[in-house]
Amino acid sequence: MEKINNILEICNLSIAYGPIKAVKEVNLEINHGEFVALIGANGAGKSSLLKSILGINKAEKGSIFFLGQDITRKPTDKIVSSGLSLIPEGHVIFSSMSVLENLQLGAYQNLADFEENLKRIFDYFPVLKDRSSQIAGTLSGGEQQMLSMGRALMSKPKLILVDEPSLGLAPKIVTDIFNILTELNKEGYAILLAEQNAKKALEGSHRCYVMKTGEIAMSGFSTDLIDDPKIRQAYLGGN
Amino acid sequence: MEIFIAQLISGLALGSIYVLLVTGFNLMLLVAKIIQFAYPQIVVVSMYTCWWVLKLTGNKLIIILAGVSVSIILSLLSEPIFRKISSIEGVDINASFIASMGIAMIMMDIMSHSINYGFPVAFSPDWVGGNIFGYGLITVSKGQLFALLGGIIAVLIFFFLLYHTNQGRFFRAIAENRFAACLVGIPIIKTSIFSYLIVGILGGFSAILFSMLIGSASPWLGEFVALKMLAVSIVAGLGNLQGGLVCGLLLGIIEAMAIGYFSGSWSNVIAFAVMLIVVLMKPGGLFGIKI
Amino acid sequence: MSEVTYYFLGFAGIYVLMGWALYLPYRVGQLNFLIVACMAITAYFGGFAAREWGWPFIVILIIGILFGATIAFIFSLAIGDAPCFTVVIVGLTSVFIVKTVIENWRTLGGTIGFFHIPGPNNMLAIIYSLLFLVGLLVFRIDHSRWGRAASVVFIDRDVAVTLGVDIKKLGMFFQIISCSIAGMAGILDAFLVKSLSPEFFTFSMIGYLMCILFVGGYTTMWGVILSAFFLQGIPLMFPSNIASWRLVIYGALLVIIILLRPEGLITRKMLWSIKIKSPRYITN
Repeated sequence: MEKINNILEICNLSIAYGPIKAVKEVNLEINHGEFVALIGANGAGKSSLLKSILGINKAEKGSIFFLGQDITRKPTDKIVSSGLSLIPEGHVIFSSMSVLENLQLGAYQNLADFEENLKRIFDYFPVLKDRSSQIAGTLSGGEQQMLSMGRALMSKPKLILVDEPSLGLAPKIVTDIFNILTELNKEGYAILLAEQNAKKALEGSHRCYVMKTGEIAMSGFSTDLIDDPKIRQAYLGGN
Repeated sequence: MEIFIAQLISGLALGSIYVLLVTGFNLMLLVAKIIQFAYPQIVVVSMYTCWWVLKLTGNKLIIILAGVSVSIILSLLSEPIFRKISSIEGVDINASFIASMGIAMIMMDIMSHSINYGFPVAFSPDWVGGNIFGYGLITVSKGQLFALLGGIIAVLIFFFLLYHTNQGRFFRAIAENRFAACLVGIPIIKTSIFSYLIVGILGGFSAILFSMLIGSASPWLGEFVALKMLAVSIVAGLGNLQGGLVCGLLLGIIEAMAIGYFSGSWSNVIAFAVMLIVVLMKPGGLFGIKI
Repeated sequence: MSEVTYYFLGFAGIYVLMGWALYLPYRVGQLNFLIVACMAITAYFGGFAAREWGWPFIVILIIGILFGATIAFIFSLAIGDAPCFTVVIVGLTSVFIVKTVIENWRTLGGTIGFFHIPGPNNMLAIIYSLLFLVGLLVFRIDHSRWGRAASVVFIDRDVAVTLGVDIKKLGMFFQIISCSIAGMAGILDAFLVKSLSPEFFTFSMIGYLMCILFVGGYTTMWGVILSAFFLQGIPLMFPSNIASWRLVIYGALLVIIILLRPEGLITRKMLWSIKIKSPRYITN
């Protein structure tokens, strides 16, 4: 059997909402165990790209391969069960259910080792353990974001897509969340992070793609990009 | 006082049927995101099926099976239509109301044309059963007992399913946040089809209990019941399952009391007038809209 | 003119009026079935006043319109900005209450009906001149700032609020106009048919009106005209054994139109493409 290096490969992907093209001919690749960042301004098409990987937005053209399999036209539940998970922007949780129920729902595609998974999640986010019987809507913003992450991890994904985890959170909590992401990556999860906070994203990631009006404007190793004058100018606030 | 107790019993029996109907209606609303106005017509068709099978055989099990399966089949048949409607871009929940109104019209007209020359059908006394308990004016008929017990059991099973099983959790997840449900990998369409199945079963049981309770059915029964079902769900707050329980029972009791204390034909007017006033005072429903 | 044509044209005209009465509140997303209740009440009032008290047609007509407006004003104080299905249920319950009251009211003929209403012999001229006037009014409302505000409310209530639209006032305005038109249609109906039956004002009538609005197209006022004539003509087009299934036909039409052309036969896009653009100079 041929060894597949990349875990996710996107070829010439285009997404359109009616006449508006949100993503144009994007090529992207993530290797096993890699932490890849996708930076760009508001409206650059980062979220559309992530949603289309999960099959929520339908791709107009192009194809998406996950672990060597074409998942472009597959329904979302099949994609999730094959080992992809999205942490959406803006704490999308089941707010009238308890924290535990939220996590149970996250395990929809992976009910087998539920207890073990749950223990793992509680290790990452001890605060969720204390509040496991609380109604999710009463959690604070940071806790909701952690719940959203915990829920995504319950399905034991091989690749985690993270969409704007820093949105609307206090700087300290943002730092915590990025630390957790780095830790997760060290444990072997591949991560694709879409983020407006370019500094944080570049510091944490191995490689980075820069998106601009639906296209990949630049890509490379994060350590190189962080010194690139154009990037500094556009995304890191001058010199 | 005796009248009061007698009417309370018959009101609770009637109310438990309304509860079953409203619960099914709300489930459709929450999970499939449609207004299933044709649901009571499905129940009436199922009652007609029971009546027809009853003429052929006396076997109660076969009658129940026939009634329930017809309701399930009709409910599942409507699924592709509603799924297609929901998938059209720029279409809101009103479209499903309009389409289900069309479906209701078709079913009503077919019943009033083809079955029993359009006359109301009466179930045999063997099916309806006589009084099993009597004390002065207070009587409990077999139909009332079955409606009350059947209704309570069905609702208990339904709520157990909803709150203590995985499938129920998926229902609630979809009802609460479709996008998040999609993200965690719940198959939306499959779960939605399952909800049509559950609603079909609930409809079938309501049909059987309803036919035992009132002992007759007519093509126009559906529109009356549809109106009451919609009214109850709006008075309670659209999509509010617990509110539906309370308001369904209350409507049954109000109607029975009106029958007990006023002349027959005005009882519906009183029930409707009460609901109309409540809706006018609280347009968002008594217990809040959950959709 | 044959009797069939006379009644066809008369009913089609009345249903265009009723279609517009349903169309206007749907501009703000409300399905106002109160119009059927208004129509029933004014029809019976008109018939009764003409036969028993001998009032002249024009007085009855004006009272009918005012009556519709008053009823709508009272109700709209509560449901002016209510969600669609709350308005639906208010309308439906009112229709059934009115129907039951009429059925049990012996002076009005009960379930048998109310007959021998005197009045003008040729109603067509009256119906169609009123139709023209109401059409002008609806057109004017559609192309006013009220109409534009309504379009915003239909699409997104929150946006409308941020634009400074008073949703409740707007809803009240449309409900009052709509019920006044329905009151007028009720009077016209009583004088066209010269007899009334409570069986007329039921669920099938509501279904029929829904069919007129949604098959024709709810985004413009013109769809109603097309479908009112078309649907009224269906029983005439087919032999009577098929025509007796008209409810099935209407129901099927409703389902099919929602599936295939959810905006109805005549849409705004279509009007634009044949260059009947809304005149720019009409503002305010």
